[in-house]
Amino acid sequence: MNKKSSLNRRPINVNPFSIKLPLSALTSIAHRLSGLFLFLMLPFLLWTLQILTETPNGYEQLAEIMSPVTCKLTAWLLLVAIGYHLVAGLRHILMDMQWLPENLTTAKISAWVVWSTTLLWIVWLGLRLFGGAQ
Amino acid sequence: MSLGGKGIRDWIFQRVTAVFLTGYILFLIYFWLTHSGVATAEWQNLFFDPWMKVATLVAFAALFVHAWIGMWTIITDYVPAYCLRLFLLSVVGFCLLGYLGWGLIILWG
Repeated sequence: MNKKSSLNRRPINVNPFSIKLPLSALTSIAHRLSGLFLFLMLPFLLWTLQILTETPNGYEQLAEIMSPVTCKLTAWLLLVAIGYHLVAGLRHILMDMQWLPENLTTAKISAWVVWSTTLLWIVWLGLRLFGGAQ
Repeated sequence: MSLGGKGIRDWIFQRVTAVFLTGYILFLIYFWLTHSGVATAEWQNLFFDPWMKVATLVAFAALFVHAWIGMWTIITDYVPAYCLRLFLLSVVGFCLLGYLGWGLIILWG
């Protein structure tokens, strides 16, 4: 009887936002998500490469198809995903090679470094893309 | 690949391809920064260079392997149903093969 009621009280629909992930776990899942996102964007990247290499005024063509702002926003999003995936992947390789000591403190600090680098990259890219120069 | 449970080989391929792609991407970013404001004819010239074509071909091959191992890992982790998993892996495989062909057309078409 008691057992049954405890079974009934099991959470069925767990709200994923109620789970607090440690930063290193968040770094890992974001690495996967950015990889998945980049895989899904591969046809778009190839299409862009095709237009840029086929014609001498490729950027103008892209800007005509998508509007300059959409172009820059897409480039921003893609470059952020690439940058994050690269830095988080580098962290993985450093840990695999044991160039970073395998302990919780190092994992936390390196995860912080990954997110700080990404934040800097986001801001710097944004300034670069939208701050006047092409 | 991966279907035979050759984990260590995948593990190494994933990282070796990552290192090459890192170098390739850093070069592209460096080129973008040093040629900023210049007409996009610069990009066309860059990819017209035979060595750039070879490097890009290697990058496509590396990306093909890297993306396959990554997608294989994600799909086998989250899709336990055999038929659906097989279907998704097939879609990923055919897409990647198609992209490789498309990449060849872009480089030498």
